Amino acid sequence: MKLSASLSETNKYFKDLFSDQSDFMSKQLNLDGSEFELFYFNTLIDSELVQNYILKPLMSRPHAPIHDVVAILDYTETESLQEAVHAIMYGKTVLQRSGEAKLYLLGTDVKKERSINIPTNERVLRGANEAFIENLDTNLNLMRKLINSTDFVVKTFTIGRLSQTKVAMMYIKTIADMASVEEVDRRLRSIDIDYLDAPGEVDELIQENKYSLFPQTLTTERPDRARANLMEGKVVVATAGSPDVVILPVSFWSFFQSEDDYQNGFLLGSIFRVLRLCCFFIAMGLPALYVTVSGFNPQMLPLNFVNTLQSSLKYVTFPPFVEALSMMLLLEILREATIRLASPVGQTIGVVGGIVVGTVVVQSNLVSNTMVITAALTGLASFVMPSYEMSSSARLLSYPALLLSAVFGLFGLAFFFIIICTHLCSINTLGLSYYKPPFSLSDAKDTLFRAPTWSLTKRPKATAPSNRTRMRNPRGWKR
Amino acid sequence: MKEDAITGRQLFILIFMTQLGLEVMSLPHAQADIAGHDMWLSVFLGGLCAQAGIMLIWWLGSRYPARNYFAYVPQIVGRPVGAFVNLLYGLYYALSGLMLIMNYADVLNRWLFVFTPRWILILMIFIACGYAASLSLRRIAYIAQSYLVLSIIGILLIVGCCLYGPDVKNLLPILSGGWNPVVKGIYYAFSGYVGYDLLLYAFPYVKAKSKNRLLLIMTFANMTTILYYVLSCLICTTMFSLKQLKYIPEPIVFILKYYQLEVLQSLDVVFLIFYVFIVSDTAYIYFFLSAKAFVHLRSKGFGKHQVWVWAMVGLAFIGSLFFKKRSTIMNFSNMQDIGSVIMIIGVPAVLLIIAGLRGAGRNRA
Repeated sequence: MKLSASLSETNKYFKDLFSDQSDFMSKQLNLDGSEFELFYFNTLIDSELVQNYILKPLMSRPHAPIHDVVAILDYTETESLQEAVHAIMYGKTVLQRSGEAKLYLLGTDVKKERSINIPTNERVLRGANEAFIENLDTNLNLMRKLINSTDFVVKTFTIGRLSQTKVAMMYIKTIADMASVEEVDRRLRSIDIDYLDAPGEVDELIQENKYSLFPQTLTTERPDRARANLMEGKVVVATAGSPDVVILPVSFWSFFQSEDDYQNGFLLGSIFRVLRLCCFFIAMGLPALYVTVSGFNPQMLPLNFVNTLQSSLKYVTFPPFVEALSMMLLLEILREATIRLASPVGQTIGVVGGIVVGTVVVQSNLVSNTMVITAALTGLASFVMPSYEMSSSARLLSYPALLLSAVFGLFGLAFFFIIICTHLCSINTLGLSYYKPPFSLSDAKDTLFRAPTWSLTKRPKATAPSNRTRMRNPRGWKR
Repeated sequence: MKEDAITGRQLFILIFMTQLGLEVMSLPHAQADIAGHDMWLSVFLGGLCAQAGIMLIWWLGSRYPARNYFAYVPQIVGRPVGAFVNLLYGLYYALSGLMLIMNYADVLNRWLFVFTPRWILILMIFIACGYAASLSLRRIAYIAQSYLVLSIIGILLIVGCCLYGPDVKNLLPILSGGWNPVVKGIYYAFSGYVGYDLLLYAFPYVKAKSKNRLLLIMTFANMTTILYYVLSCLICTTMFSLKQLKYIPEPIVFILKYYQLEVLQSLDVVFLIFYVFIVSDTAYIYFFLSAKAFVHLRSKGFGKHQVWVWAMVGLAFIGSLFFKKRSTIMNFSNMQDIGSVIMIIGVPAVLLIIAGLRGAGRNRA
């Protein structure tokens, strides 16, 4: 429908469209012979803003051009009713003057957001204490403040037929590989969906290997982590309504990097990095190893240890596999319960789950002592990884490992690791390999261990950055 | 399918890992009957023969630097004969993969999994091989790179275990039976070096600075394998007498069984399990090459690589069910040894001569 100059026609159009909406308002004004009408949702607008910066100035100078009167920065003129409808839905106030076939869209939406908090899911000892929040503009503001460069590009899209969710893609145009930037752009644009539930859905909709258990995008709530990844040439996708951003293309090794590594010395950082990698294997394979060693190949263990193991297994009726399975299930139940439980009751879980169940289960000879140790170690090891997604996949993979080793012993475990390794090698992210064994020194520098800062002069090759020079003369004072 | 390029370093590791097969365990026993305590010499000379083979393939490859072996064979000998040669290669590599896995399953059955039905072990290795072989060359190189550390641990275990008890006197006198047994041993030692023929396929995909550099990489890989084998032969001959070697089919495992650490009773289990990775690595490269040979039956490409891989793996698995007796495996292994000499030395040599003659003819005309 074409916009007419008469207020009543516009009013009728909006009233018809929003006939069911009880919070849609229109307000007519007759100021000194000049007629105005305002359309807005009273649940979306900030009435203070409307009163002080639209109504008051209008009353004082009703005949002047709107542009000069209204004291609002977010100001657009349009002749399209469709655009006006969108604007109203976003919390803008639409103003029309009688006799003008023109609508004024004024940004008066109320800013309701929580303050920036400390990261709750990705804790570090040293490092920034800011986390993203649900508001996209605030998140972009955080990122812009961290990277004060014209090379830092933010592109926004609107995804979701119904929800019209704003999605922002960030990258650094002098570093990122333009091919992957365009690919992310293309994939994001092609999402046709009713509403977008970020970050999980963004993640799932744009990854290549649909059936892999391994996370192929890195999700983070830390602006500093997002920045570190941007600086390696990656793309960050932030979605309105979600305090997590998605980083891609990532390699397997990114899931073991933590901000802490770069804050401590490189020796400490490297040791912790190696520890996390070891924990990945422990989380995947320890229960399986326990089952093979106690049930299949006890000849691997020294005699004294076999005696110890035997004494703890003596009165346990179930085979090691059932023992291991039940303890791992218990661990998983505890984890899930701790997440869901209201925080005041959270302490109870520790006492009931950890102490009562753990002790009683051993005393009643349902599960052996060694198995409790194994399960606890597996759980702890899995939580060492800085990415929740990776730690979950490691823990979930321990089930097939357990099954294979329970049936085929050590050979089954070896088979499991062969398949996992092959699978890792086969995954692609944005056309780049996901897992690449760190073979040359330059590959191993920030993957297997954390090399000294001054030696990281080149960006890692894994994301194919267009500009690989990271630092030119980091220790310039020496000369 | 377009193949990704691999780096020189990846080629080195691929060749080394492919050459490294089961022979580390079985060579000392096989050679005990033939070359006696001079086996290290024949193993070394066998390596030099492999080096000659590498030169041959490199020479052939550098005549056709833009295409892989299976693609240029029809160019040299014409389409029908070329297709036949590729078919032979496809069957040969599938048989090699099958024999390797059979032999390894035999070792596993004797040393570690006495009661596990063999077909289950074989099936699992075949599944792993099929999955890996259906990837691209670069991805396969990634897998080989990941497993390299296991072969290093393997050799460290072997070397570490012979700290006590080697008797160098076992090696003397050198050449007690003259050169004859040593030369005869070369043939058996050569089977351990099979695997460098991956270069037939990989040649055009290596990002090396020059042809000569590629040859250098190949030589290094071969030298590393020679070192690995000679070391294991030397250790076995110094630790055991010839009489003992003749009775123990896998002396290395035996040595490892004898030693123990404070936290690990039997190193042999660890070694044998680590060898699953190394053996499967070699086997999936065989299946990869086999599928590639079949794909190149027609110049436009014949079927999909993945389909061929799984088809050959399936066939090989069905074939493996027919091997019941150890002697059958041994006979087939001997056949495969002859086959490998023909396929990776004989055929490339003939092709080189034909190509040379044709090239010479073309130059004159």
